Amino acid sequence: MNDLAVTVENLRRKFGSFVAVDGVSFDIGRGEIFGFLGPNGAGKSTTIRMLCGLLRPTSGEGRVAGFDITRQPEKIKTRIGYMSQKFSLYRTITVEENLDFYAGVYLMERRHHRDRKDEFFRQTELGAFRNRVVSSLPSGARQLLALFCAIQHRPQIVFLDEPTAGVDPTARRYFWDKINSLADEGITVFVTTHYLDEAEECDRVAMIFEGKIAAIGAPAELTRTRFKGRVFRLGVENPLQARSLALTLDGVNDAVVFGSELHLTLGDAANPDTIFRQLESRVSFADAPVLIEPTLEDLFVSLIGEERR
Amino acid sequence: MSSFAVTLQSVSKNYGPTAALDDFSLNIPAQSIFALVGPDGAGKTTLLRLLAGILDFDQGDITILDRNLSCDYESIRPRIGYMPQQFGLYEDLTVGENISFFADIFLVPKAQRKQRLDRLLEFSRLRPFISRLAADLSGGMKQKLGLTCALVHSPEILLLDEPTNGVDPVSRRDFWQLLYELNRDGTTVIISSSYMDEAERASRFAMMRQGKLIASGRPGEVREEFTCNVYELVTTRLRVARDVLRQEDQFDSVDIFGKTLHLTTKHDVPQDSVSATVTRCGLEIDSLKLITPTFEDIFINLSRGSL
Repeated sequence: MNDLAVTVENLRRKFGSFVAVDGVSFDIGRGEIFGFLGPNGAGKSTTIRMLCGLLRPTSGEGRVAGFDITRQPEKIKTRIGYMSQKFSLYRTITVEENLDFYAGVYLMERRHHRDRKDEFFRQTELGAFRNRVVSSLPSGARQLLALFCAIQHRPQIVFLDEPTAGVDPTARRYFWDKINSLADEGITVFVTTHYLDEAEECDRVAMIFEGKIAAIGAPAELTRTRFKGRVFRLGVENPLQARSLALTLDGVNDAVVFGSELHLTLGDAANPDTIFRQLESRVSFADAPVLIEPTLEDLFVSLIGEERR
Repeated sequence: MSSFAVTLQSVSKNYGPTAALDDFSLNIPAQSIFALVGPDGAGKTTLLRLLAGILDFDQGDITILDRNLSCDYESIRPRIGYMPQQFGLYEDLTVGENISFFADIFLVPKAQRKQRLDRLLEFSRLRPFISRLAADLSGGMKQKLGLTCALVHSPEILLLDEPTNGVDPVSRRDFWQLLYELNRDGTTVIISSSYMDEAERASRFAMMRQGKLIASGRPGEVREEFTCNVYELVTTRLRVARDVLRQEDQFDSVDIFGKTLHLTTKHDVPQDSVSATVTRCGLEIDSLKLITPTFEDIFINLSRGSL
């Protein structure tokens, strides 16, 4: 087997006349943390379902853990783990019972399971919660358990679907630590999230819009190479009014209100001084404009805008 | 009239042995956009349910629009709009039918109805989708429809429970733009979020954890009152570096943010000193700079030691 955990070539899936996934291609290396980002309805879930062998592609090719997603879906299912945001755990039974249940689902050998479970209870804070009913756990502990349920059978790839929604920032970091250790052990992590600040922790991300991949690469490299223009932050007296005004000016690609501030994206050719002078003649500035680094979220929003125009 | 739309005084609410709100006091200024931020279990939903009058509290006092909630619920309720986390949209009704249905429930007079509906469809940018079934809307559009339905009786206070949860960044920005416009027209907006940085977008906010208030005020003020320095360090082998630096007394917290480390120190620790410590620990410095703390930095530091 080579060092690619996933290869996808021109994958398409139609539902009736609706094209949910429209010819996507990408490779994911072994042990890579791969972020899959996109708006609701962009084709993220459909892609994941095809990769897990749960849905046949309309056309195109794909291999996951060395097996063909169309011809060998059963082989794939035992070699992957899957954690969804909401439905992973049984809330009315204990932590240990959940682990046992999933070990059964994944047909783990009893001896292996016992060793893994002991290791898990030893190495994480969950040891103290072993006999607690899941519904009484703090959300961070619950997410950690859901993750372990999905990986205790040592899958080659684990799919995490919005694993950290609603989780405490401290617990979120602990969770990402675990994701990183999995990657260090050579497990490939495929993760979706709407928190683009945490997506910056991925080795690579793909942004998918309307079934097509609009950008793929390392987060820092993507914002450097794909984001067009410069972002300025400025404090203004009346941000809403300033926004409407800014959007009428040549050279302003976008204007977003953040509380009492306005974030302006200016085109590369635009002259910031001219634009700020025009603005300041109509609205008063509370702070001078500051050039800020575009974030992955800025890139995401600008690429979607581009697609929709 | 009071300058506060909502006042909570020593409010407690328990679910069995669990305190969802623990002796909680808060003033929410009229005509503000007020964000309640905190992780799951912080008490945000409980607080909003109390304000909506659909849940009783155990102790304390709540005043809304100058009236006592416990005595005057009937007269307060029509002045409040409430959008719970799972908003009860009828999936098999169209966008237009959903709005009309809520207009019926809230007894919007027939004479005003057409005008108000027009204004709401304009505001929410939902007009092109008026005949679409709610079931066929995207996540972001469903939230916009929920918002529209919660506004059908022109409430003075709008309560929104995690409306941007699971919503992509583009729809989140669109949604906030709608809130700013509503607020400009005089509505007090109270919005909860588990996304700390959403505090940034509000005029004021309260940061909550396990039923308690850990910070509140204008975003800029809370940042200034946070008397720590946050340094952003770029180095190789991030997790190893973090574990090493966590041994150093100089740092109150060391955490991974994306591909960087955030090091929190007392406010009087200069960059030279931080840089010396990092070098002494045998770590390479690709870059090191003092940054404006994010609300995640603030949350992590204010809730430190109480895991």
